[in-house]
Amino acid sequence: MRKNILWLAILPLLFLNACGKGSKTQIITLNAVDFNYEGPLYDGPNPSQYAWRVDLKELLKEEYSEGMKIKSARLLSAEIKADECKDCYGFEEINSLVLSFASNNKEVPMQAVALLNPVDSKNKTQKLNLSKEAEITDFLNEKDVYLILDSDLKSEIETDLNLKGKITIEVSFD
Amino acid sequence: MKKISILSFLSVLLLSMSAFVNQSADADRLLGIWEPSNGRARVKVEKIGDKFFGRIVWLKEPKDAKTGEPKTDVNNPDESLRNVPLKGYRNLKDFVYKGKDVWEDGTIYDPLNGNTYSCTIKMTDKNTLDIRGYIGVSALGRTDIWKRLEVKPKDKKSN
Repeated sequence: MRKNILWLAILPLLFLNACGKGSKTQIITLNAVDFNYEGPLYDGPNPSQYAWRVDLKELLKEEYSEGMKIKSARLLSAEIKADECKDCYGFEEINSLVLSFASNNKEVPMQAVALLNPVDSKNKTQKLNLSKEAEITDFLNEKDVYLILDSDLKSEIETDLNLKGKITIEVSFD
Repeated sequence: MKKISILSFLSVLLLSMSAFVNQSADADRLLGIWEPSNGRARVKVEKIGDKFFGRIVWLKEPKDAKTGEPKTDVNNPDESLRNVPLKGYRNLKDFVYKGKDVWEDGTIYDPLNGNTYSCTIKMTDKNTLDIRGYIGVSALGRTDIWKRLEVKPKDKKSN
């Protein structure tokens, strides 16, 4: 009887240990995500997309093993900067920013993951507010992911608009 | 004999390439600006990767009657996204061209109630779409007819 009780106590511990064993976490950062809007642009929402080829080997380096899958992924931050050149348009022309992820896989639908509305034009870097419910794990197991930044313009712009994103993601894998 | 095999291989290759190009051109006929039957919005269909998406580019009543501010997605089930502007919102998502003027596997979002429905798009002629939203099976749904709007592209400013 005492033996059985002992096993009942030990089994859950063994199970928890097995689940947690080998699971590693790493933070990956996409530093130069170019969102280029080719002018002239209408006032209102304008999208720009960045095609991201997800290369786990490159991202995880020595932690990478052939055929591995990402167990979970969480967006930690999304920051957007404007071109700092003299005649370039900046955030003073933008009402709001919305960042979404999309893929070619029909099982992995587009998701809005972060937004900022309104944009504070005084800031050189805009930190987007993250969605609390967006689930991005499936995107990290895709080959191609599209990062879409919708910029809502206050007025028409005759030239191009160039924004740069810095996206930080925490990934867990076995 | 070898020559004939190479020729037949090349012919098959060319035929499949031409079929692929035609399929892609057929699929892209969905691109453009469309107006639902109620005339309260206009939706621009664009391509991202291999899929088609539609976003609201014009609203008949763009501002909230109570606040006077631009409308946002106040009914979004994800509370953290309720401040996303409705103008620019992607209400058609993830459509894949299946051939024979049909795009499937996508969803349509109704910002009036925050619900997302499965959706099929059928192009009945080059300027008309049957947009069928449904839950579960297509038979239990509703079809709306959307019309294409001709919009001239904005001219590039000459330097």
